[in-house]
Amino acid sequence: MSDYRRPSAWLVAAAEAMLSILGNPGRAFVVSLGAVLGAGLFTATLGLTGTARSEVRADFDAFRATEVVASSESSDPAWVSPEDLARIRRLGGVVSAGLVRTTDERVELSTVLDRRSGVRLRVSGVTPGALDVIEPRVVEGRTYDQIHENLAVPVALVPEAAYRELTGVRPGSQIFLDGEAFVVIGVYDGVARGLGVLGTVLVPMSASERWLADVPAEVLVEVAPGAAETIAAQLPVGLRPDAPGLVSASALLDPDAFRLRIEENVVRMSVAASIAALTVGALIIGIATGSSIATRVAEFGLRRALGATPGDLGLQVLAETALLGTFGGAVGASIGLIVTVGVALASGWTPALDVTAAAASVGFSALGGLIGGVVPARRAMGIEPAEALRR
Amino acid sequence: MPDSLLQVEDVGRTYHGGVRPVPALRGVSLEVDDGEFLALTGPSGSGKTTLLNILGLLDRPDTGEYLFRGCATSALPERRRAVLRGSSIGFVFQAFNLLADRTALENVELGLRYRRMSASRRRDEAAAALTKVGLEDRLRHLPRELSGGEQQRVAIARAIVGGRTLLLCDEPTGNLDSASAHQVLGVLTGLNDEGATVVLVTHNDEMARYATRVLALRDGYLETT
Repeated sequence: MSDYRRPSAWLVAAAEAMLSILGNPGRAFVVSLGAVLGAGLFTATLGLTGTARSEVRADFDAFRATEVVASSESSDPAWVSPEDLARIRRLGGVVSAGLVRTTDERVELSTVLDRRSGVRLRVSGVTPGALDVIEPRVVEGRTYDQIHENLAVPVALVPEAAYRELTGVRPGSQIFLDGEAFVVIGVYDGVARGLGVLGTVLVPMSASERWLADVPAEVLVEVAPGAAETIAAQLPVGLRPDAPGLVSASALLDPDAFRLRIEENVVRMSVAASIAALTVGALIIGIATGSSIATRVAEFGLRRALGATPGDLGLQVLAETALLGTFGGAVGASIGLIVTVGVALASGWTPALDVTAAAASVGFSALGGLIGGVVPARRAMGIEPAEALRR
Repeated sequence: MPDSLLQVEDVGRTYHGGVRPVPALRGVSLEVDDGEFLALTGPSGSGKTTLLNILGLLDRPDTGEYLFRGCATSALPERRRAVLRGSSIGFVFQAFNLLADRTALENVELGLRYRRMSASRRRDEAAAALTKVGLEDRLRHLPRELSGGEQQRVAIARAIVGGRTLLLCDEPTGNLDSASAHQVLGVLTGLNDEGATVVLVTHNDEMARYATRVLALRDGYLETT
């Protein structure tokens, strides 16, 4: 027969589900509440996480890489001159800059009282400009300055480890580096930048020629927050306009990786919380639908009497819970977005709306509804029509 | 001699849900011919509704066999029984069992959905059935907007829609006043006159008189009256 088009069982189930939902808005509201809560929490959690992540990013930007190191492939250890350094100090964003050379070999450190200590350390020749970059954390004494550098005064900043191990090491005392006398000007226990010099004896560059004449110098530059990449790009030309290809410069200790790791952790936690919320939503849908099945036994009995198979009833319940999950998810996602905007504005943040997460929450809610409907569907399929019609 | 539509052969049915087994039917045998109007009477608990459920393929006998148009039904899979029920058997219940949120038309076309009938044909068939029971002007009414008699006529329309010719009526006048009850029985008689087979369960002898044959059940046994 031409007008006897046969709709699929799913289409029939979906149509019946829609009619049931529209015919019982109260019941539909209760059942979809789970999806509303689940999707709302999902979207709000991810939305707020996104917003917080933006804030974390902004906060971390203040601590972005502030150190750039330049080195050269040139065979000349003194590949950079004081004029070159003066030139890059004029670059916008450069706070300070200087040269560092660190011995590959360790030298023996001894004192008057402890002539054969056995303590061997590397020595770093550090210009005062580089010292400003490094910012050694001085626990006793002080740092040296440009006068020491200019006059090649043999002073040394000693790492705290040596200070602890050697008798008589204190500011003002004399130490010997491979037999050469230096006066301890200070003791340090950490650096803000230039991790390569940590644990070495810091001496003025001009006073370390004996060990460092053949060691290639590195240029340490402290830059303003956020300027590291730009300065790193400019340094080759800035240092060696005649041969920029010989110079390589890179921003060190970029906290982006650290920041990303924190962001990932935050996102991972929020996704876990969101999935938990959606699971709760699916459970609520399942429980509410399961409860409603008990009140709809007579209806299902009637449907069986009218020719519905158990499968028809199961499909209808699944279609209902999936539709309610979708509706609830859409409502919840909308509420979640509104909450995100509201909380962000109230906190003075820029809201980061994650529309993908909102869309995903609708999809997950539909899926959650479908999963939540499995048990009620099985219950509906198991209803004995004769028994049901007696109710 | 008319064809035998329903054949019940030594059917027994016992309920096991309670403290002790309750036999509802004990060795019942009967035949219902095509186009017959049969009344099943008896007091409450005599097994009338149980027998009607078996005739309507809503329940299965524990013993014996039930043949529908010569086909043994006990071993039929549930899906096949549902298809047979949907295409051939209509039910009319005492409480009407209409879906409160659906119009008369939607209630009548409900069963046709499970026959995968197109929407336009469903509407046509449902409207024709409602016209047949005299409710052509009540198509868009919700059950609460209809009288008890009208609601039962909607249920009758739902039972006959789509060409079903076996009507199983379980106390269809139990919730109606006398006038409405006679009106509903009049509709059933008219349908029977047009060829429908009607099995009427009632404990009301006055209503049973509409039938061409009356069988009585007592304690699960069938008595001929």
